[in-house]
Amino acid sequence: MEKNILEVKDLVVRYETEDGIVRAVNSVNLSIGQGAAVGLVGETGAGKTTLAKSILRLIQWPPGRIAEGEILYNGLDLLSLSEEEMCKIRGNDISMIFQDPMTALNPVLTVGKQISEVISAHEQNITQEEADEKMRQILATVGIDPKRAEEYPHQFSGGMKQRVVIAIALACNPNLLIADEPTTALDVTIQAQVLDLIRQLRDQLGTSMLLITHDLGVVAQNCEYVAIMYAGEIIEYGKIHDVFKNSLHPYTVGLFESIPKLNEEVDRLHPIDGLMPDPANLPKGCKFHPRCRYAEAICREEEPEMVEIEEGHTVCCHRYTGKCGLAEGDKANG
Amino acid sequence: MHKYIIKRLLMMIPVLIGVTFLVFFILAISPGDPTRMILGQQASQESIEAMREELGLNDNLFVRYFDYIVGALHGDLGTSWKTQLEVLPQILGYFPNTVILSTSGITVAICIGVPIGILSAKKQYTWIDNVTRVLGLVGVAMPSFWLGLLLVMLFSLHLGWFPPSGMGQGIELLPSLVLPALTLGTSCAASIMRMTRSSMLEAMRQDYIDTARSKGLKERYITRYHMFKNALIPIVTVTGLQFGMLLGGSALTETIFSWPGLGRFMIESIKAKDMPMVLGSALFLAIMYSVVNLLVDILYAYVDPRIKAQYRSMGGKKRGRKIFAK
Repeated sequence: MEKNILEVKDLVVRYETEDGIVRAVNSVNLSIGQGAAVGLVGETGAGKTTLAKSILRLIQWPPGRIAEGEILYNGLDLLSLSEEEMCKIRGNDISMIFQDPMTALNPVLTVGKQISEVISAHEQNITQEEADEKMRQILATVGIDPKRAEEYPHQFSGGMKQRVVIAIALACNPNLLIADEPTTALDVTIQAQVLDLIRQLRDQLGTSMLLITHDLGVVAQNCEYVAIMYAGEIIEYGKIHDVFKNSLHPYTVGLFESIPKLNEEVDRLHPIDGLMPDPANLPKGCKFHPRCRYAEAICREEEPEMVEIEEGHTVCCHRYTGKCGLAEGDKANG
Repeated sequence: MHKYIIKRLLMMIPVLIGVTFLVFFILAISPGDPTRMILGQQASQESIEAMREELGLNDNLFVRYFDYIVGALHGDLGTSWKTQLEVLPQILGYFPNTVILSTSGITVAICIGVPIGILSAKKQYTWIDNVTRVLGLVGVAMPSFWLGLLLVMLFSLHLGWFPPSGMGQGIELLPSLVLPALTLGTSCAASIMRMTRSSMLEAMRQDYIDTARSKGLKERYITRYHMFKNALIPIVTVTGLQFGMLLGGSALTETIFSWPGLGRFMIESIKAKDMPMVLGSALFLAIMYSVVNLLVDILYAYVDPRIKAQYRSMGGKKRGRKIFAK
């Protein structure tokens, strides 16, 4: 089995606010193999961004805190490091692309400065000129004229800004790239360009990637593995092919049913009924049961455990733990 | 940029006309006869009449105002009714003292307000934050004359470190400056601190701070270059306003410490109903206030590249501050 570059074990992240404890991430287990790309899919508010930020320990206290668990990067527990050691990992070994390029860049610093400061921070004994030279090369790599290094973010378009954000993330050749909805804020043609660019650069550098999105199409094109997240838990995980062809969890099935298909006559889409539960007030038992068409008594009482259905394909649902009638469910489905 | 500055200077003209107009008419309709002030209560009716004629008080108000403006445009602000001295040289004589006091006051305010504001924001919800917030509230609420008196009691009467009043010359200047500058600085420091704290908190919540952290930059560096640089605009605004106000003569502080500044001079002129002096000082202070405001707006361009671009593209159709006003 290939070596895992990142292993997240039983991670629990909470936001402790005056209105109560928000359980954003609940006992998440996730591993990313060296060179692999894992897609993390879920609705807004499922805890995807919180999970991504906690890998880099960017959750700010107050109100957020990583309550339990381990995050192993090449076997090194990131949660046990000092802040100073963590600074050496951020941007150098693991880096992150943020959701909205409009707000992810500092408006009062030139883009060149914003790229070169990450180079200066991580490369010892580098002069400002060398860092600037490297910054210009990186700008050229992401398809921006190096002459524009002296310009400010407001002089760039959205797609160009995202290229700058990517340049920042890849400036120090990280081993792991966390891309948090890198294309959500961009229009479709620019989305394709940005994804192409990320793919190209990954091919050149051999970077592993955690790609966060709510677009299953983007995952299909860019990832080998996919993890489906719901209410702070990963409810299904497996190879792209397995999960797409043989979706197990009712939520995953629902996600696929809510995508319009070109090759089938469909009058209406089938959205999943109901809303994501309030993470400050999660239901007992399986978090999905209020919206699940197969929910039974046990789903309301007991949390399901992760079970492996085929090699590398795991799911977290009572229908597969043998505690709940799968056959009946299928009948209802048919 | 030049176009913008010229435009702003032209915009000062209506402001100054408005200020002089208001002051002129308020003084004109206020009760009490200035000639009696000058000649004394026992003066004969003839001499009063002669004086009124001499001062032009019998003319139509608008004619008098027009004459005054024409004079002012030629640099002639008239002569004092009380001392018969020319107004402008007197103002120019007092003004440097006010500049010295205001500059030291605002320096004290910045040196206290900005670092404490940053600290308070970085340690939000801790005891440090609570203590500084309470101190800030006290600083804003405390009347400067009371604070001035307390400082005099402690540092002059008990400890004897600094002179209680007056403005020293040469090497004596510095010790005599300490207490008035502290008095002025403390109340301004409180507002600067509160503004620094809130705009730092605003900047800390922005997405680009996450980006900066994800780069592996040190927290100290992020605070300085990513947070503070972005928090500067409101801080510059509030500091500029405070400075303008201080230049306007901090009458109270100047009176407590017998500081020979413009504020105290103006109060004395008002008491004496010395109309040319009051008008002259008001006009002068209005000019100073507008100039400081213009300087602040120009400073914005150096703090925020977006505002610079705006000034350039529109030649200053909109004032920079407006985009922050919402």
